[in-house]
Amino acid sequence: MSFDLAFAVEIIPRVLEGIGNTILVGILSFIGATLLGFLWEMLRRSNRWVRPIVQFLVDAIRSTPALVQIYFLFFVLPYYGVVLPAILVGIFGLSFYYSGYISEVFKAGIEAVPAGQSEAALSLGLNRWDTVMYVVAPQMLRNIAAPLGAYSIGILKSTPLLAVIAVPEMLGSAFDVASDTYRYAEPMFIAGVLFLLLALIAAFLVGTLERRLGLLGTSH
Amino acid sequence: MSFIEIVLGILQGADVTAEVTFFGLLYAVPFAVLAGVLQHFSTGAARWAITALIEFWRSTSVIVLLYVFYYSLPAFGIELSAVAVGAMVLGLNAGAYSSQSVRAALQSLDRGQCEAGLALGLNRFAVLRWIELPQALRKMIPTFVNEAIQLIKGTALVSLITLTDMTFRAKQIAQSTYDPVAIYSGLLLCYLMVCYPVTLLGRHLERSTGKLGERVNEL
Amino acid sequence: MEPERTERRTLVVEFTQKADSRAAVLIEGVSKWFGTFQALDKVSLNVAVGERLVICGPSGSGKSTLIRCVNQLETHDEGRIVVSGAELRPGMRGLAEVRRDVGMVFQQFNLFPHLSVLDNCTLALRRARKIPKDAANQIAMEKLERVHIAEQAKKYPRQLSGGQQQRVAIARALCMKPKIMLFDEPTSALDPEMVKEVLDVMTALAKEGMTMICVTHEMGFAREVADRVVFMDKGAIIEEAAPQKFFGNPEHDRTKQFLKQLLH
Ligand SMILES: Nc1ncnc2c1ncn2[C@@H]1O[C@H](COP(=O)(O)OP(=O)(O)OP(=O)(O)O)[C@@H](O)[C@H]1O
Ligand SMILES: [Mg+2]
Repeated sequence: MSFDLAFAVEIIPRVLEGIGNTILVGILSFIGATLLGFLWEMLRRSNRWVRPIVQFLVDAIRSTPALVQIYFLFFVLPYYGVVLPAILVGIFGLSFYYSGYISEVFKAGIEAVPAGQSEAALSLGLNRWDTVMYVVAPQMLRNIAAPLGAYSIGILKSTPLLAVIAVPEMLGSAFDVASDTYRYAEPMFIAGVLFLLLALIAAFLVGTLERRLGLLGTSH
Repeated sequence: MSFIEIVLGILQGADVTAEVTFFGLLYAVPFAVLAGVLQHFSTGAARWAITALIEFWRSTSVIVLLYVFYYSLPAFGIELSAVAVGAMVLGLNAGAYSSQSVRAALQSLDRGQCEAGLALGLNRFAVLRWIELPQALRKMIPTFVNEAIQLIKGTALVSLITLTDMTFRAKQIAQSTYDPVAIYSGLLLCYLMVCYPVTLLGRHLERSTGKLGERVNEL
Repeated sequence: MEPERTERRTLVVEFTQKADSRAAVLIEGVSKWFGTFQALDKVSLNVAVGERLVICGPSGSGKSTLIRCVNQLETHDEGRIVVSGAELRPGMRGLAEVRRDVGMVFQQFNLFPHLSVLDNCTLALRRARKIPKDAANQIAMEKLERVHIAEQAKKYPRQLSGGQQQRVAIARALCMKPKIMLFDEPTSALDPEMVKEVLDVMTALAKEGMTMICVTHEMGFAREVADRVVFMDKGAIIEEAAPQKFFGNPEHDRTKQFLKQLLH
């Protein structure tokens, strides 16, 4: 069976049907991962009993495949009677997986703020929370902008994982076309091209945004 | 089926996981070093070409690319085995990411190192081989370790292109036994046993090769 | 002290004149631009075999650029440079061979941090001269002894003081048995108490008859060791004279000004 270019072009609109969900899942997962990652890092810094537990959790998240984590949520939650739409399970899964990495981004970003800054704030009488919110966090933002941007693209590239739990995103649409037409070469190829374009456009937008906000460059 | 039996059943796929990881590394390491070095030294069109190649592998989604290579390449007359597709896609993806730290490590070396080598009468290749690369590769070991973890975890995806790795075995067991908690906890545990020690190693290396003497913010 | 030095001086001058016919380094009308900025302006300078030349001048005057042209770490844009009989051209073949005859010592030492002191010294012997390991080690130990640091051979550069590192760098260059040694401010990055140990090694080297071109502001060293002192400013050679004349009675106002600044 050889490659049918006309057929490939013809199915582009059908594969594109899933792009809305791809983008939606990407954005929501990025927000979820950032919030969870920040939570992990704050817990890690809270007290010395919580710290090793959260540390193990973060390392465990980073030591198991995203695919397996998503399977776990998808098959185990219903066992306990929690039945959620697949797309929600997928967003939770991706948020959870990437939160392990993003917590490390926050950690490095905070550690890159000189120790003297928090020492000065604490000695002025600010409590730990205010010190984080008003002194460390604003400086940290510069340090984390670039790696967070990179992870936002990483999450977008991971959204096709959700096809395995039948979320109708772009790879899922490609599979639908494939099973309707009994041809795999063209739908997969088109999905590959579209995801590559999407990632390049997203990388361009993220880069532009970071430059606009003046978040790049002067961190060191 | 008891939990132990399930885990043993999953581990029957460990050989495929190991095989894909091994061949993946065979793609990843040479590609990382070669691409990083070439990107560092080339100029003009050559640099543009090598950068485009690296960016292709960094910008594509591994799972999508696995399907593309597995299903679409045969239509162009390129027949690859599933193991070859898995190892190549996962390996070159990890290699492309690592190549960026090879290049960064080469760029961050003091220019005096190269000059001192040249002044001693070593040719440019000898300077690269004996002076620059040993120092650059040392700096990059943490990155390589982290990319190796990505590669091992990535092998779970080859279950989607019919390879009977650990993840595939778990799904197989799930078809005959309804015990999702045990099966998927067991599967998580199997990956954790392999990757967790490597993660700790990577963390340790990052700390020990990182900037020493810089104090950690005490919050 | 004075008479002794004058005596040595006369000997050296005779030797230099005799040796003039076979110049170690020949620089003719060399110019060099960085973009639109001219770093060297038609510099001409000959260095005889066995001659000790000191180059001084204000920061940015092109001293480093000039001696880096001698082993082509910088390429010149105009003029001719001949080093022990071979004319240097950008991208020439056999440049590595020429460089093996020209040792260089840098301000920042540039030791290889991933190699022990001994391996720093043997690297080029083994990889460029293809000398077997044992023989290379032997040569290296000999040179390390000469700079009084043989007992540190197994250590790594970061375990040594600045002065020790710079002496290792000198030994490393000497291992290649160079015909000419270039020094680019070898003591400027050192703590004051370490300057002497490096200058002593350089002085000993000079007394053994090594051809040396030294960029340095160590005027004591220049007086004692140099056959000729060259003063550079804005990419050109302004004055060149024997040390006695140079320090005692310089001709140019720029030189006088510069020397006055050095003394203060
Ligand atoms: N790679 C370069 N690119 C651009 N300009 C350069 C470069 N190297 C040197 N220059 C310029 O050329 C001029 C001469 O530099 P050079 O290093 O030779 O001076 P120098 O006499 O050795 O000074 P110093 O005493 O500070 O070492 C300086 O103005 C310097 O800024
Ligand atoms: Mg200089």
